[in-house]
Formats: sequence, structure tokens, C-alpha cells
Amino acid sequence: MTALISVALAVLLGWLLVRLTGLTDELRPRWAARLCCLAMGAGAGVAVTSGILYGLLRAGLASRAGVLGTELAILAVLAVAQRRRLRAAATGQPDLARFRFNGVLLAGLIAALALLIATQVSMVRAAPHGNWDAFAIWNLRAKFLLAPGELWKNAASPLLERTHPEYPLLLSGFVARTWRLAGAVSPAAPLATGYLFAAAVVALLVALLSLSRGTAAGLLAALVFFASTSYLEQISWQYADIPLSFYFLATFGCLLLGVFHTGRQALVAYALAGFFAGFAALTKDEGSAFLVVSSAVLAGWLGRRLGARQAWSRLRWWFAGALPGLALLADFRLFLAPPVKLLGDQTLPQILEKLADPGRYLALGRALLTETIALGDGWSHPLVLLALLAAVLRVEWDERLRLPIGFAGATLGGMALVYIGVYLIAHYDLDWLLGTSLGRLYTQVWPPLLFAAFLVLGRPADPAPAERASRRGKKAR
Amino acid sequence: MLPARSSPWLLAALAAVIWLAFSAQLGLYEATVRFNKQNPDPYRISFQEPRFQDAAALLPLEEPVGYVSNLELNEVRGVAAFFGAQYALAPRILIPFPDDRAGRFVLGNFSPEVELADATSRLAREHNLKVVRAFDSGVVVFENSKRP
Repeated sequence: MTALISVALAVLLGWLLVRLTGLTDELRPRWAARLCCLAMGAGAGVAVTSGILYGLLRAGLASRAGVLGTELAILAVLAVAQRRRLRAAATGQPDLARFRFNGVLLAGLIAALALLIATQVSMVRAAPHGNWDAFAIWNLRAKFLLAPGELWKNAASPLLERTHPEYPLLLSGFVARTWRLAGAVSPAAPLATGYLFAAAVVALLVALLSLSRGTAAGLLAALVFFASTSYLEQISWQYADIPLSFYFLATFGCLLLGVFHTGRQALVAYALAGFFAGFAALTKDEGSAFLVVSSAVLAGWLGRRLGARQAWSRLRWWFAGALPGLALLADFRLFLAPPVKLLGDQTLPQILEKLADPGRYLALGRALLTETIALGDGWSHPLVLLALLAAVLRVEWDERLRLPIGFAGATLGGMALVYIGVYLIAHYDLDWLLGTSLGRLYTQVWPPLLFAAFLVLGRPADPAPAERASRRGKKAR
Repeated sequence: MLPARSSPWLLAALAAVIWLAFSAQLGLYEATVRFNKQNPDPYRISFQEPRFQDAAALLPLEEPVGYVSNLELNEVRGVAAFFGAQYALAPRILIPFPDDRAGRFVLGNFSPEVELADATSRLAREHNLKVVRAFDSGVVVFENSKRP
């Protein structure tokens, strides 16, 4: 119970932080705006409190009282600062078409959610400590962070060579911080963290799409998401891939929210997007690739459309937002973690030989196909559902959403190229590497891919009054 | 013709999406319950913390602890046993033994099919170790007499 209260404290802190930006102010529907703020707050709260623990560990002040006192002090500052939070005067949000069957979609979603909860209960009862990487990497390192004195640094000891001591510490740091506040090491903290991120992903997907494409689009995206069984299976595993998928989605989501605002808030949207991208880098190595790719895409996009001067006026907010996550990562990488050997001890000719080997491309292609099929099951595969919706809804381009759609599409495309490149030149056995990691890479990018797909799909909408009259006329004849 | 976005085709597609999303969940639920009945806690991590609790009291936090087992570290069962022990004993660092980086103590982690007394005395002889304490659960704490 104390673990849950500690998690709630982090969510509250993050919610207050996101609320300060006023990015969800004045957006409709109000429930979606509030849900968006809460979901983003959950991820922001985890990032901030994990960062606080790391800072306190570095300063030798990470006792229970030290952690609690610091968090409460920041909470108080954020609460007081709410009086001066940014407020949106007006938004450029489009009028969203009504759809009378939203209640039916919601009922379907609730039914699927009830089953999902039953599935997760079964998973947690069977394996409360999660899957392999949870006890071999993420939660194991959280235990090291709780060690007395300077022994917490053993979390990055090169002696833990089978445990990837070079992996960044956001997830392990948050679990350790929650254990410290709860006063006990129990599976409740990592489990709560995993479910918090999964819930935040669904909530953010529904909220962002409801705000930009209407409630029906948000609910449909959640239904397709609920058909993505390989993603859902991983929630109870307690890995870092679901948190990473959240930070990817939140980065794109902030730029979407920025589209609806002008002036200072439009710039703050870049800062919050950069903040999430920065903490993605602190979550997993793939997050560092995401930060680099997304920064390059954004710089290229803004530079081409606005010119260097205007582009920099926005980009500097993005980089300022990314700074906290980057600073923590730099400290960890420079002063604690053993060096990363991405390419192993391979020479350039060996790497070139791998790049020229058609067998590696074939193996990668086969694995991609296998993992794509494994995303779901038979007729209820999420891609079947997406194809079905695309057939009836078709594409409906909204010029106002050009930036978030282009940014998300180009960044995800860039990430795909990075992943493919790493697989092609990796020093590990390729079949083993693909078999143990490709499914999790899908997990990282699947929610943002769904988000991007629903931004371009047509929206279910009630017929306009003139259309209804025409329909009645046809019936009468 | 009515636009596709409000046509009966759309409603049929939405009904199909709801049903298929629900059936995906149903399939996942059935598969999960079946799997969990057959393989509860497949790596038996829940059992490791109580199993190593008494040994933990004998092992220092400050220096790496050697690790020996009858289960090979190049097999899944052996690696799972190693990480189970490592997770239970963290923040102590376990290092597969023999290794010069290991400190004064060595942990033995033996599966039930092993005759514990035989395995313990054989290992002690082979590596010049002294048995500090053998626990009923297949856990043994050795002292490396080569270390000060």
C-alpha cells in the first residue's frame, strides 16, 4: 500500500508540472484534456522522481527522509507555482464532428479492458517478479541502488557483466525510489510502475486522438491497441520497453498539443516534448537513438519550413527541455557506467563484410515478418483491424496536423533505419539477437505508430444535417 | 451514395473491430491462464529470496561473492539459477567461481537432484574451500582459504 502511495506521489508531482504548461487548457473535450494532462504527468513524475533519487545518491543524501523531503519540497513549489501557470487564451483546435455511437465503442472498450485486467491478474499471480530482464537487469539494479553508502554505485559495476551495468537508470531508479519510500522491497513497486506506464500509454493515446480527431478516433485507437496482444503480454514483465514507448508517444503528443496553441505555449510544447525525449534517453539505449533522430528530424523540418532563425527559436526550447534527462545521462555515462561496446571488438572490414552479407538481410526480413505477425492473433490482429478501418474511413488529411504527423512519421522511419543498421552490424549472433529483442522494439514503437496512423485515418462522424435530410428523402421515395 | 464515414459499412466495420478486439482479449486471457497453470513462476524467482535469506546474513556487501553450482551457466536452467541467486542476494555481486576477482566467500547453489554432502565436499576439495555452513535448501556458504 505504501508503494502505491509513493507512486501516487510521483504522479501528483508530474501532473502539477505538466499542468504548469497549460498545454491542455481550453481544449475540448474536457475529459480528454484532463486525461492527457494526467497521463503525461504520470510519465513526467516517474522521470522527475527517478532523477531526484539519482541526484540524491550522487550527493550522498538518498535516505528515506532525504528523498521524501526533497519530493515534498518540489511538490510544494509546484503547487504554489500553479497560481502563475500558463493559461491559454484561445486555442486553434478544430471543431470535432459528433458520432452517436461513441457509447457503443466505449462499452466495447470497457468489456475488452475487463478481460485485460483478468489476464493481468493471472500473469501477476503466476510471476509477480516479472520476466527475465526484470529480475536479471531492471529490478536487480534497483536493489543495488538501495545499497548503503557508496555501494549503490555497484549498480554500474563492470563485474555485473551479465546484467548490462551500462544501461541507463530511469526505470531502476524509480523502482528503487519507491522501495525506499515504502520502506520494503516487494514486487508491488515494479508492478505498479509497469501498470502505471501501460495505463498512461492507453490514456494518452485515447486523449490525444480524442482532442485532435474526435472521441471516436481515440476509442477506436484504444480498441486496436487492445488487439495488440504481444504488447499487452509484456506489461507484467516489468521491462523498460513499455516506459520507453510512453516517452516516445508523449514526445509526439506534446508537439500535437503545441499545434493548437500560439505564442509562449506553442514554444512550451517544444520544451515538454524535448523533456520526454530527454528522459527516453535515460530509459534505454534506444531512447538515446530516439533523442538524436527526433532532434535531427525536428531541426530539418523546422529549418526547411521556417528558416534557420525561426527554427532555432523553437529548437532551443526543445533542447532546453531535453537538458535534465541528458545531464543525468551524461553524468551516468561519464562517471559511473562502464563503456558501451556497441560494435564489440569488430574491425571495419568485419563490419563491411556483415553489411554486404545478403544472409543477414534475409534473416532480418524473416524476423520482421514473424514479429509483425506475432503482434496479434489471426483475424483479430491489429493490422487487420487497421486495414478494416482504413477501408471504410479512408485517409483524411488535416493540414494543421502536418508537423506532428510528419515529425512522428520521419522519426519512426529513422528509428527503423537505426534498428536495422544495428542488427546488420551487431557483434552478437544475429538469430539470437533478433529472437530476444525484435519483439520488444515493436513494443517501443507500436503506440506511436498507432497514434500516427489514426492522425491520418478518416474520422467516424454523424451525417451532416443536409446529408441526413437527403437520406430521409431517399427512404421516403 | 452516403459518405463512407457515416455509412452502414462503417457501422459494420466498427462492430467487427469491437468484436475482434474483444476476441483478441479473450484469446489472450485463455492462453495466459492455460500457460500459467502449467508454468507458474517459470524461473522460480519467488522462491529464491526466502531460500537465500539465511546465507545472506553470512555474506558481506562490500566484496564480490564467488558462485558455484551443479547447473551449467551455458544452459537456461543454470543461468536462471544464477540470476535467481543474484537477485535474492543483491546488492551483493556474484561472480562465477573460480575467478580471482571474487572475495573471501563463495556461494554454492545446488539443485534438489544433487547429493548435497557429496557436491559440497568435492567442491571444497577441488578449490581448497572451507564449508562455513550448508543449508537444507541446497545453499552452501564456503570460505576461500586462499583469500585473506
